[in-house]
Amino acid sequence: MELTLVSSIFLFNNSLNYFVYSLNIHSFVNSRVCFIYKLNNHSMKNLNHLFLLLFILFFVACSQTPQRQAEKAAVSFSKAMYSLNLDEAKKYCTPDASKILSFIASNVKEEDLNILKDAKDLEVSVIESTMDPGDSTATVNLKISNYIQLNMMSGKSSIEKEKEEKVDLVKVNNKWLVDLHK
Amino acid sequence: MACRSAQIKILLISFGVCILALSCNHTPFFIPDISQLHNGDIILRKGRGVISDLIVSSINDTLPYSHCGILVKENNEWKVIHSLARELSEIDGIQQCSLDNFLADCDDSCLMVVRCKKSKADSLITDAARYYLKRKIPFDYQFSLADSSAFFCSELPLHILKYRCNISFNTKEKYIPFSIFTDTTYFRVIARRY
Repeated sequence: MELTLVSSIFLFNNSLNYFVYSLNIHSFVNSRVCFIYKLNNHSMKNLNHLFLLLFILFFVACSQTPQRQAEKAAVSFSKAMYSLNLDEAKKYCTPDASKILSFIASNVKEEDLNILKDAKDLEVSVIESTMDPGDSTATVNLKISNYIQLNMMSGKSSIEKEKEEKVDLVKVNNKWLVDLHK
Repeated sequence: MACRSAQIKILLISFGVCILALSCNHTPFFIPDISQLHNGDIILRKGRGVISDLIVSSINDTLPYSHCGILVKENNEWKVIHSLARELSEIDGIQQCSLDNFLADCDDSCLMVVRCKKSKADSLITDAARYYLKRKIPFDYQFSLADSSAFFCSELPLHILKYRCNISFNTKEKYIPFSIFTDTTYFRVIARRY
């Protein structure tokens, strides 16, 4: 990752140099070329540094930290799961967790979907998250509001106000996946 | 003066001994004393995950258990015969696993072993559990006690208790809660952590 970043910065910097040089040479073909060249040699360095800085800032702003990625996966998973959109929720899960979702899906009734229709909007927000030192597992604590509490037995499911839930995630092929326990 | 400090020392030591005795009085859990276990004991647990939480909240019982099985000893090793859905294990329905495996998914704070008080219940329950294991009864997704073509987890011991030990429970609920296994008329708690 770091190597790619350094290489792209290097390539970007070199091509920028070439572009600025050619621009200068072709724009000023008269006697002032030497002077401008000397002048620009100094300002071009500054300009290069500025572009480099802007590029790094852009890159950092656009890329998410692993922790943010884990939080995003946990929120997306929970939103899908508590909307009973279990196929969508499976996209954020490990294969084992997908099986658990299949078990939940087998217990979802038409009545549960009707309860969801009349419910207030589901809200999911991050309370806190922690990563393991190796950045391969993470735990995200979520606050979930207006969620459906499924009843798998004979009783009725209900909409509950609020709860906190801990979501465990593992990093598989550079992607954060929710790991559910039975 | 020396006498007084000796008295204080004795007092402090006595206090320490009392604290130690009180802390030891709390039954340490479990995997504990395997010598306490017996064939046909019913083991109850709560898992650590979403399914366990869903089951506990769905049952709305006084005790937070989500799963149970029957203890059987085979080749000097404790096994658990229990029923799980195919999505939660590699086998659908009645299956056998080691006690260690059964406890691996267990929330440390919720585990109990009970023993039926009825005479010869141990062999009756064990034989029946082995019989249903051989028959490969599938998991009961309907969570219905009405028929024995499929069993959910607590349906297995409840069915055996009813038809082999003549112990049946009448409740208004369709689903019989796990707390029924603490009914002292029929059961004795062997180990418990909750």
